Amino acid sequence: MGSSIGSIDGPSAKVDGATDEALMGQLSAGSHEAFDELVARYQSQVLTFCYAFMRNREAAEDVTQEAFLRVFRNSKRYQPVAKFTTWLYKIAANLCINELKKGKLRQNLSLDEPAGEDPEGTKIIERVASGNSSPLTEAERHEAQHLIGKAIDHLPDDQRTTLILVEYHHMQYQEIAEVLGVTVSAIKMRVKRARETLRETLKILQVHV
Amino acid sequence: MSETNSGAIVKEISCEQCRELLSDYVDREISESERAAVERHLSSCTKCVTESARLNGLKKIVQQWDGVQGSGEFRKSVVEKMIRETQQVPADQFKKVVLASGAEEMGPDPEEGAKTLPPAWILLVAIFLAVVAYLGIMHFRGGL
Repeated sequence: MGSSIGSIDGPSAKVDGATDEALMGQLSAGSHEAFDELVARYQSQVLTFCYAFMRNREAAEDVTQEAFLRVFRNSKRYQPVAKFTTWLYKIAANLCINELKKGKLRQNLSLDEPAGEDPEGTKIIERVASGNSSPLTEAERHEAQHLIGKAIDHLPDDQRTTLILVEYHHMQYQEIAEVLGVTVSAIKMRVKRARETLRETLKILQVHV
Repeated sequence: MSETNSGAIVKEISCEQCRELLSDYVDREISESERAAVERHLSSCTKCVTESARLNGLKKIVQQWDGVQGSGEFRKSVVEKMIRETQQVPADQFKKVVLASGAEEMGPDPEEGAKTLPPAWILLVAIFLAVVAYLGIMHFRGGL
């Protein structure tokens, strides 16, 4: 990371190795490079988080873009009392919730994968879960992505977003509670239920964990 | 209750209590005393050890997911929108300052033209009256 888009003009600043909070300081002083670096660092994470909410790639991209623009618009008001990522995810979460309230993005998903249709895929997932397998080949990894994505998609909204923050973003429960505006106890319950639901879903896909 | 080598008291828990805590345990979101109680139980319960291994397996599965990847194009598009906004903001601020100062009357704004007409008419009427008065005086003096 640390590269910048060549066509960007604006006050030059050192972004390589700078902390997120330092980049926010540079952004509030008008540095386009600092903004570019923040987008480079977090675009995939925020996209994945928004996708967990929306289950729609296009909608997730729109919300992610707006989240970053709000970071820029509010950069002068940003106070580094909380982690930058907590603030960023909170902005993204609020935007996702507002979009979902419009109620246009719900997709009816069904687990129509017939039992035994993908025996190779299920074996790969079971190998991943056992943790003592050799590294996956590219084809196996692709197969695993398909099944894991399908299982995650079928989690209820609150369980999916919470589990993604735990496992994909490696956030602590306290930080997740701040991002989603709920209590730590609620997060504990959601994570526990998400794992139960995920296990049931994988069972339908003939993956036994 | 039982005592460890370090002298700390470790609570004994049932399988049901252990499983209630296992999800928090595998995420390391548990207090020291609860962790000690879970580990004590796991040291003597193969069923709960299996359950703990299953939860770790589920963690590995979700962590294997790639998520949604961003791209250079997406990043470029976001940064370009930000730059467009930075170029718009000073123009808006400039307009506000100009309007607040009343300096718009200095410019050739066609919509403001109508507002400058009444003073011009008053001036023309004043000049006309002055000329009439001058001619009247001259006529009066000539008549004497």
